[in-house]
Amino acid sequence: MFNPILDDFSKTSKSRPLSDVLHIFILLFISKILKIFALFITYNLLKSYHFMLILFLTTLFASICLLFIQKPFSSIRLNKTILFRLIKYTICLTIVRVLWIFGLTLCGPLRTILLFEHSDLVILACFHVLFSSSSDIGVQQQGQTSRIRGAVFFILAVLAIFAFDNDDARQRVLDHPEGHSHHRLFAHVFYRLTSFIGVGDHKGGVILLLIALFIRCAIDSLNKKLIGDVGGPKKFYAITTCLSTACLIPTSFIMLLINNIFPDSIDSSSSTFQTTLLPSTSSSFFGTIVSLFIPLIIISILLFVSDFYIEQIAIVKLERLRTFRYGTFTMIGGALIASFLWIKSATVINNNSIWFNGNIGKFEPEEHALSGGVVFSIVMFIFSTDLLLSPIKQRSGAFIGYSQDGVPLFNLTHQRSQSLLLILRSSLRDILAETDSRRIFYFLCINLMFTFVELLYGAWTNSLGLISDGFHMLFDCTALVVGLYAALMSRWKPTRVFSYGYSRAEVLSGFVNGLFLVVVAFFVFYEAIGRIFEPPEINTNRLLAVSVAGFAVNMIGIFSFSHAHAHAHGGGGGGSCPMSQPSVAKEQHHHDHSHSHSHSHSHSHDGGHDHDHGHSHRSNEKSSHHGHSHSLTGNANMKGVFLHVLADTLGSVGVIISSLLIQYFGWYISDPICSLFISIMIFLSVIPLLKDSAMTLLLQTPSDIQYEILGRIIKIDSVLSYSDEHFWRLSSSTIVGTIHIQISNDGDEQLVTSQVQAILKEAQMQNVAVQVEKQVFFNHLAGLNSALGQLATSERTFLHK
Amino acid sequence: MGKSTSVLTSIFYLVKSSHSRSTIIITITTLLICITVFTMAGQANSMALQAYCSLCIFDLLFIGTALLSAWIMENNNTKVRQKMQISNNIDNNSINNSTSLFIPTQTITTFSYGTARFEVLAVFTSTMLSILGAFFILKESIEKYLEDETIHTEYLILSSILTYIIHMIVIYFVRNQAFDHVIAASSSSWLQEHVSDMFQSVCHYIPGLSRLLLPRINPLALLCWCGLAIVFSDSFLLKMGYGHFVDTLSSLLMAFMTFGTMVPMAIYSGKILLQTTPAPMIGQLDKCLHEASRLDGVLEFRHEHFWALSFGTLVGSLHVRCRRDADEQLVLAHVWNKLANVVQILTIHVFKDDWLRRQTHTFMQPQTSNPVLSNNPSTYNGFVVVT
Repeated sequence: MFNPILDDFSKTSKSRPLSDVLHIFILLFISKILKIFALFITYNLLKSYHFMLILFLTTLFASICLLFIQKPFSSIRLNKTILFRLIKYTICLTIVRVLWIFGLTLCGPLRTILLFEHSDLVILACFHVLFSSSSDIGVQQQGQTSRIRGAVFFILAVLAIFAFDNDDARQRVLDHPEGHSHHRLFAHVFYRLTSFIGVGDHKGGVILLLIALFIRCAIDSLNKKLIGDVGGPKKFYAITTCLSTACLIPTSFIMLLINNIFPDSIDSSSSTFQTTLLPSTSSSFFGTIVSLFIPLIIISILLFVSDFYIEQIAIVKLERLRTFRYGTFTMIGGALIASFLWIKSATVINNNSIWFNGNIGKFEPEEHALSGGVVFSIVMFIFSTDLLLSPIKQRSGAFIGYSQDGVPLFNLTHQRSQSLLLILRSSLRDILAETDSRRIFYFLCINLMFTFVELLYGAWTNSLGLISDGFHMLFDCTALVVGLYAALMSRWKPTRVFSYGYSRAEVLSGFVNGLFLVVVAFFVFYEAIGRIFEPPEINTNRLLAVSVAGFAVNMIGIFSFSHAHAHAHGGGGGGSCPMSQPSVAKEQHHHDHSHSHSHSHSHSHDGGHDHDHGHSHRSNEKSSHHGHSHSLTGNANMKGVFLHVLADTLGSVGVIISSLLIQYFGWYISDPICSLFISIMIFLSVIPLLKDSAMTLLLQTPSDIQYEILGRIIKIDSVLSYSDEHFWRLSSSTIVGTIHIQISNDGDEQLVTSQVQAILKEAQMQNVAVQVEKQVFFNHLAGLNSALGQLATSERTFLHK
Repeated sequence: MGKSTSVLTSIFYLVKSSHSRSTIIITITTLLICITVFTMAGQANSMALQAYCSLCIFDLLFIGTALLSAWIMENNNTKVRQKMQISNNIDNNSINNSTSLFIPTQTITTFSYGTARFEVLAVFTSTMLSILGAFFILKESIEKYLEDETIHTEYLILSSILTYIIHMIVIYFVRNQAFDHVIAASSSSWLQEHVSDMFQSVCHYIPGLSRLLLPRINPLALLCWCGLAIVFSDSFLLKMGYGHFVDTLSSLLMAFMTFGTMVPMAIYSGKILLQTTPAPMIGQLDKCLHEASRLDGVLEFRHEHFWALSFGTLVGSLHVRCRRDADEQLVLAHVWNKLANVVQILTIHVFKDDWLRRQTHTFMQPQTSNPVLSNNPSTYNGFVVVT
């Protein structure tokens, strides 16, 4: 669907010099100005007649004109499918026009022009920016930033009209829109609808216009082929206009009938309005002709005939982009000026009418005045039109090379992303493949369900406390999402850039989760400090139930995650062998640790031992050949998630306690005190996690690497010394080690290497690199005139032997 | 405890040294202003102001990072000085000190790569904290919007100007190598992109401004400017009586801007923490590796790990399989010669297939439990292959 507009943008048509097409420009300009004029007249007419009638009559006149000009049915062969599609298109077009004219009655001409008179290209470019895949962005980096800005400006402009355009005067009148009895039925239904959504009538008009705009864009871009099938845009336009007139016949007759049933109301309303604005009105037939049909003919010609033809000419002679660009600019600017003039004249008339007849002046609804929001949105619309319709300078294809004939080749195929369903399914399978991620995922699901139940219930009972608590839960879920993503990521295969694989992501995510908790603790502390001086009154009605429910959900989490501890413990403890002798004590300790986890936060005191766990477990695991060791609790990621759940649980406990205290004793100060305690607890419990993961990230040498290893290395035959020894923990289960060994000239490198490797393997290092250096090596380096760098220290061994 | 006291003494050292005195003054003023501004924000009850004032907290983190990188510099200097002294001793006195250098229990330090990585972690922490803070503010502002409380506009201007001044002072007057590097090296944020794009089109019309507008703008300063503009317009609109919807909107905007500014920096430093090869180095490394692989005697490379230790330091380890009849030290020297210019800390593991007996390398025996190596060749086989 977006490809055609990309073609439009990247088309490098030769722009003609301005002098050649100046008359076209002037023509376009004039037609747009006339269109604005016609719109204002239409709005005026709409005050006194039903919009269905106006629409019907204008389309009728327009179709008569078009029939004479175009003669669409003279030479046409319509088969069934084309006819069907034409009818479908026509129905959509009719709906768009009805929505448009109803929006016009509600919003006034200026806002209608602002919202509706955008070319399809702008809207499509907007959608393209907002919903296109990121691979496209990479290709068109330069054009993309300005596009994004344009889209944002567009949204801002619509938002400004929607929210910041306080059309107060209008609003007051429209509190009883049934007063406009001439379109009583529609207005009434619409009024019910908008009051159900909860927006004002004027805002409802904005929504209607936007819907109409989107539908128009959609049908126009989807039916491009149909235009070709029918035989040119002009013919197509004529046919659809005639057909839509036919569509409008029944509804407008119904309208006429209804209006005839209540003739007095329409008369009264029309007389009130027409005396002020159309002084020529009277009940006589001739007067109706003059006041209705002459403007109608003008309108229909200006709106539906001349504008269309001139635009078609301009599209052919100028470019599409330029036509739309200048057309939109003219429309917006002209509308601004016209509405200025209109308001002036309206107030003059208004004053006159007050002068002549005070009563009528009171009922006169004020025109849609200019407000700050409208001016802002005009500026924004101009910017966004400019940005979105500026042609993309870069080519969309990537340059590959030259063909055999020497012609440059471009790769135009964009990388299509996979279907969403496939991605979802595969990632779900990945998640469920391992215990850690599965556990997080299930808990996340429970949490989300609870959140949505809470939100829905809150929305249903209109309780703000519940809704904000739901948002809070949603916020907490992000920590789980981070954990889940990291658990998934840690299983990805190593790449060129991530040569060690992604297992470090778990450590990083643990660290980030820790930071998250620090932020939470800080804000809770800050809030509590603020409240301790002036404890607010709290309504504890539903608070207790909600917090008990939250507590229950979090307890599920705690049990499932501490179950993970116990499970891993059992699995690891099964194997026994001489190697794991020293780790029995740690095992015991670990058990205590997990125990303390599940009951209170007091484990913060034994944080110093934390980082032994991974090791002790892994040693068991390795020695008993259990396979791989990811689902262990030494994992910082799981610890972070666990702590987060724990903090949440603490929070709900605090809420329960404080709400009980408030309910039974009325101690309002207990709430801030509780939150103070909670924040301090969260902070204390997070410190060990932060310290551990930070130390891993800082490549600290694991404390369980004994110095004895190095002693044994230096005792190997023909080893003189070692240098550059680096041992660090990649993730909870992997240790990486590199070392340089200096040996005497008669030693065998491979033998020494294998011996050193054996020693390091014993110390649970999987990823070992040993560099064996001899005196000869330094001689070679000197011969190659190479930089020594870090080798200065190791060379010293040979220098001072 | 010993470590913490040493940290304390080093902080004390920082306080005493003359070059960081201004930093100390700035730190204290930042703290004071932070407290006042936050009380004001609490009084004003405006989320936009709170979002803007969280810049103050970022300033504190920024100063912390600056102090840390200064400390690391100091550390390195002293280490170099010690080394110099030792080598002087050796040269002058010709005492055999090398054995004392290599006493195992002394040389194994807790941070074998030195303290350079602290900077990276500090940058990551401070950016991540402000991202999470922005996230928290996002949530808070939605909650505030639901609660619908009145906002006092009288504090907005004063406290935002205070924040603006202190932020600008901190950014431009505190020397911070780590952040300077990250700002220069990380990809630009969306805010920067858009502003530079706009300035480019402005300079298209007024070429005289190009010297002022076209260079890359400091993203932190940009964040501050935009935030100030947002808070001002927020207070203006609030005074116009547009209600607290404006406040929520502007705080959301502030939070997104903070996201946009901090995320590229966090990604840059986070990638270093994840042991990755920096993207600009890949091309150069590939070239070196390609040259090295065509040396005489080299069969293939395995387990190439190259990663950034800190900003601008590359660490690498590499396994080289060489021909059975090649001279290992020669191969090592040649490969080293190729790579040492790019990689600062390098370990090259040279190995040969079947160096004792002809055996297939898929045959592995996990005999790790035996600590003492026997001379049984099959024991070595596993190690040679796994490396």
